[in-house]
Amino acid sequence: MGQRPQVADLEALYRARYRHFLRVAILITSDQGNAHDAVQEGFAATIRSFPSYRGEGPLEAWVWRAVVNAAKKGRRRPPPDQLEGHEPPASENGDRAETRLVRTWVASLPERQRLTVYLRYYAGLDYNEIATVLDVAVGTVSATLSAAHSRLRNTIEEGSQ
Amino acid sequence: MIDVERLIRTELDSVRPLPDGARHDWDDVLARSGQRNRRSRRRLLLAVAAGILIVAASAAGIAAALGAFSGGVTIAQVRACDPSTVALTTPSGAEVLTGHTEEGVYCLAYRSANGGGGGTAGRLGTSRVGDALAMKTLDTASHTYVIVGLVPAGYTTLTVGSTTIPIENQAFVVDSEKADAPAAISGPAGTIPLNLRALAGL
Repeated sequence: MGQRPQVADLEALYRARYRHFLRVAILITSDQGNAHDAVQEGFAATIRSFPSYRGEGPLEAWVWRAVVNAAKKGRRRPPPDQLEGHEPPASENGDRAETRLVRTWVASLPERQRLTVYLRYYAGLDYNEIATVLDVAVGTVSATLSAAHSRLRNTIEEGSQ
Repeated sequence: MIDVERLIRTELDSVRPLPDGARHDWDDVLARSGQRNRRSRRRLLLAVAAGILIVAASAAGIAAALGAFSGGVTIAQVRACDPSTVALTTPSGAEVLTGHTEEGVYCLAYRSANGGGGGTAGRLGTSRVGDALAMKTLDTASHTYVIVGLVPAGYTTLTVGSTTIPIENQAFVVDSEKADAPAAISGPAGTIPLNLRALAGL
């Protein structure tokens, strides 16, 4: 009989990591209210799916998957001028050159690469966990991050020319 | 070679700092998941069940006094059976306790890791399916239902669908979601098919 997570485990995760979940949800939904809803719905969906959990992957990756899916559903329709890019930067005033560079880079990434970057650097997940969240092979995660890194190198080189 | 990984790690937090987390409210999550309603329903069900038990116990007491259980198990016989032997411990820390009396009454109790659980008693060989004693109970630590059973000696494994579960000291625990899967117990005593759903009175 497999060990199943308990609601108390999930509550502890929620209390410890709420702001991290919220940050990624905001980046996906472009709206803080929708993001908060997505985080709550993701955790609620996880509780509802406890009976079908078979111990596949760590609990946190399982929750991230539910939150990301909820955030995608709650995504605000982007204005026409943002269809190809990321949401507007939170603030560019006073940014250091490196910060501006990374901001530009993130905004330029295709959606799948951007989401993988969020999960890697904002959520702090390892490649296996990201693969669980996105339901892809670990090799795909590795290739996606590698492509994103190459794009950043290109961005840096273009900026230095 | 540019160390982009280091650059990302040092700058990404500046691009999007952690937001304010003042709105997080776990009770809202529980409400969304239906846990709160379930808790209310569970309390109501427990109250109804307690009422039924009181009525049933009164009726059983009268019936036992009149010898109505002469072919089965009387309340006094059930009370005489003490499930005090730990037959098995699950990976989650729950325990199955068993006991029997000289009159051939067997009893079975399930104790979750946090102390909650349930119990049942009867005669092996006179239950509906003839060869085991079982019940469905809630593991109050993991919030999952399990079927807990006691079988005659000589059986070492329970096969449920494609899963093989060891029988330890005549006891087994299986996820109640497997109740409809074809099941059988086997060992030196032979192989006997089991209907877990009927056995647990579902």
